[in-house]
Amino acid sequence: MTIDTPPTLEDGQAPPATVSRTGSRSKMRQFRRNFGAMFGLTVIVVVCLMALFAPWVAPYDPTAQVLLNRNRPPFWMDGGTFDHVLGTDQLGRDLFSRIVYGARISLFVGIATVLIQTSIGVTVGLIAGYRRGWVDTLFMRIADVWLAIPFLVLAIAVAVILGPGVMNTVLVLGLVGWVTYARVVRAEVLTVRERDYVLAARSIGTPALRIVRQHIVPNVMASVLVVGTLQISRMIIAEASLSFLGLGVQPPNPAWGSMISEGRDRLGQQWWLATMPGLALMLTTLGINLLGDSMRDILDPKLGPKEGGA
Amino acid sequence: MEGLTKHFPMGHGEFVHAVDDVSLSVSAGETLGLVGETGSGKSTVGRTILRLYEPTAGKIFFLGQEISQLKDRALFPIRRQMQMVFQDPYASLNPRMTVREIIAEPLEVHGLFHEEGGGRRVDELLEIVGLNSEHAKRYPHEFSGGQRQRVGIARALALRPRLLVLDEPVSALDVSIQAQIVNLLEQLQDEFNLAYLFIAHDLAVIRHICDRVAVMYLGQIVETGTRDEVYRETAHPYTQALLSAVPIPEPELRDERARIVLQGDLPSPIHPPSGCRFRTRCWKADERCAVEEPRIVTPLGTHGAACHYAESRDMLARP
Repeated sequence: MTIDTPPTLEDGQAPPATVSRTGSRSKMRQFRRNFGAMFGLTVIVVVCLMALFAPWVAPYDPTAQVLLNRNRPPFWMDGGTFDHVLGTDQLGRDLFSRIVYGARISLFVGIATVLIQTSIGVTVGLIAGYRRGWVDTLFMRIADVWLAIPFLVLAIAVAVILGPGVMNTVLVLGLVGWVTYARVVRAEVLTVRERDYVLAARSIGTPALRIVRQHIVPNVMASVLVVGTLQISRMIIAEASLSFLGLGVQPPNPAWGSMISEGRDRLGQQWWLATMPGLALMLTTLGINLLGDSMRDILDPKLGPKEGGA
Repeated sequence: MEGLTKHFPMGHGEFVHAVDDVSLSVSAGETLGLVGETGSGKSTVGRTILRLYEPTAGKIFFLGQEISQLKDRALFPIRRQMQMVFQDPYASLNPRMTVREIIAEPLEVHGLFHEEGGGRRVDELLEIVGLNSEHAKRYPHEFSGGQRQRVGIARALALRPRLLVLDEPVSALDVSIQAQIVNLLEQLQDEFNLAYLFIAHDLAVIRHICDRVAVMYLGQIVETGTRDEVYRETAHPYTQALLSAVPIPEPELRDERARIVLQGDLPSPIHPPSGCRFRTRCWKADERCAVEEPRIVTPLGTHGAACHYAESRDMLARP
């Protein structure tokens, strides 16, 4: 091989100007063109507004019992009226109003627990994965032990000590779920920390904290986002199982999870009691997942506007 | 410029004998080539010099100061002086940082960003490596392999180092781009009087760019010398075999050349052979080689080979 090519700029020339610009404005455009993202965002905004303005949106008090109006079906069925769009339950409470108010509790529980889980889990995962050695072993053994404690036993213990209620539910769920994040993050950190760009940063003398913040966290967050969005819906349902045991949200306050589990017994007769909050939960979950998915794609600079589409 | 010199014999203990008792030195403005097969420990040497790996034994000198035992804090100012360029330009740049952030990082870490003129210094570095300031806003994935490697070089130059460890900087690139990068490196060396430790397995590239060459086999240096000594008066059987494998451009000469084909694979570095490490694949090996470990002796000048039966041969001679 002879090496006498003059130093041309052939491979140093600017790519054509049409190649994707990764400015924030093009990110916005990319987002707007993405159907999944827009759909997810719309659903979430609607649900959030509904929760926020529940007193104005809901036609009735969610806890008001009108025994004359028990077990009304939704409006399109025989015996249904527009007074109670989605019907009423066995105590004559308006189902639609309960769903609207339920969004408040369910969204709060879902988001707050996931925030607690993420902050514990990501921290543990980052430390364990980056430090390795005995720190890693210690944290991961703690995680194993944590997983070995049955969720309900822990939940009951906390409920006994602190008493039932929404805040305690959030606390219990948040403390239980961090292990998943810790494991995912640790595994990712272990691969990312061996990449050449981390080595390059170390050879510069970059302090560990900055390496973690600049080079590791951004390359790990994609998986956290995915796990997190999936967890929100799982947490909303988990709240239901706690409520079912009488540890979570206390009746008569409505929450989607507890409404589903209450309505389950009456699926044969008044199927809408469980189905309607179930649909609300499904739609919200779908919205969160779609938004999370497309956020991950859009935040990845490697995916241009085209690949980022739904 | 004062001559910067490093010396480091080191052994990698009981486990993997990745690098055993290697001594090298590089001076300012000079390029030392480190050649060897995959797994011979070349990269480990490079990374240990930069203290990315802890040396098991031995000493590293940089500008007369021993740095092999320094703690992070004491090492910090020295890290400025020595930087690394990596083999894979796809793995060595953080995909979530723009080129500007990547090149500015060393400056920021050392608190020199404003002192050096901030964004203008980044533009200047981009120009030095043959890119332009327009590229600064882009992400690494928007560049070709050669351009990425230029970004990697710009990052390495940001702190005005004296020593660059080039770990196979061109072997992941297309041949046409290799030439450009090699020329760029030579140009930068002249401009900044850099010392290069050039790690490669491509003998042609090494021959082109290096002043001196060290050949590694299984964690040890088997032959060192100036470029011409190693290429023209090849003494160690392993180096002879390596050079005999270099392609000759003229087809009619190919059959006439002595081609040495080695048998077998690289032995395990966990249990390296006794005596001479190359003896399991060497056609000259006898009992002495199994018992007595050959040492590099350089009675006259710089050229030396670790072999009991070394004899010079011009492996590039046309028959």
